Amino acid sequence: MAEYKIKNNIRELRFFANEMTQQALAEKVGVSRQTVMSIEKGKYSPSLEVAFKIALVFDQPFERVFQYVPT
Amino acid sequence: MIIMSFREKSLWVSILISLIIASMYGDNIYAIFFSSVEVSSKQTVNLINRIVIAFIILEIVLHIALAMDDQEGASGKEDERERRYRLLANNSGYWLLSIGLILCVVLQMATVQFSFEQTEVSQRFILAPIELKLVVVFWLSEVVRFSHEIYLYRKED
Repeated sequence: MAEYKIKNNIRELRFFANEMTQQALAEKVGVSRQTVMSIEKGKYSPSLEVAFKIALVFDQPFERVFQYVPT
Repeated sequence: MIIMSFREKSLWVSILISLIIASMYGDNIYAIFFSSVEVSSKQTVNLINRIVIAFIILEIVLHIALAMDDQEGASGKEDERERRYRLLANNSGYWLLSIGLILCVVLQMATVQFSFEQTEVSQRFILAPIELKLVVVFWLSEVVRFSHEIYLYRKED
């Protein structure tokens, strides 16, 4: 089976949300700014709960924020 | 520029304290482990007391200084990423502590079963006080725990 990885569009979504800062997103989701940075860079895969919260902040469907794509 | 969370800064402080403690008392511990000089249990207990007190004082003082420097970070709650990394690192520390404890008990049983010569360098370590061996094992497990957690944070960069 091919290897997959989790990609995200958080940077783009922050841009379209009036250039929302990582700190603002972190406060809305309830994690630290460093965690938002790690998620955005794809270095850390968040829990389902945090992933859904991020999608809710941007008012986007889950699959618009996170994608599971072959590497 | 490296951006560190309060937790990561705290880990660097803790590992720094562990190294300070090692540099302060490492030679005393080495002397007890490998020298042929007889050390009384009172001297060993005094050394352990000094190590524990120095460790606690340094932890409190440096963490207060760190919290004053980063008040916002210090008052923040631990999030899921920090919790995950802490648990992974605890696991490493736990394994080392468990193996160390078993080795200490086995060595202690061996000293009862077999007669070792205090004059042999290789055997002096076996005859060293178990409480001091336990302190060293605990120190090592703490260093492994802090290092592993720092590694998990740093590998993201």
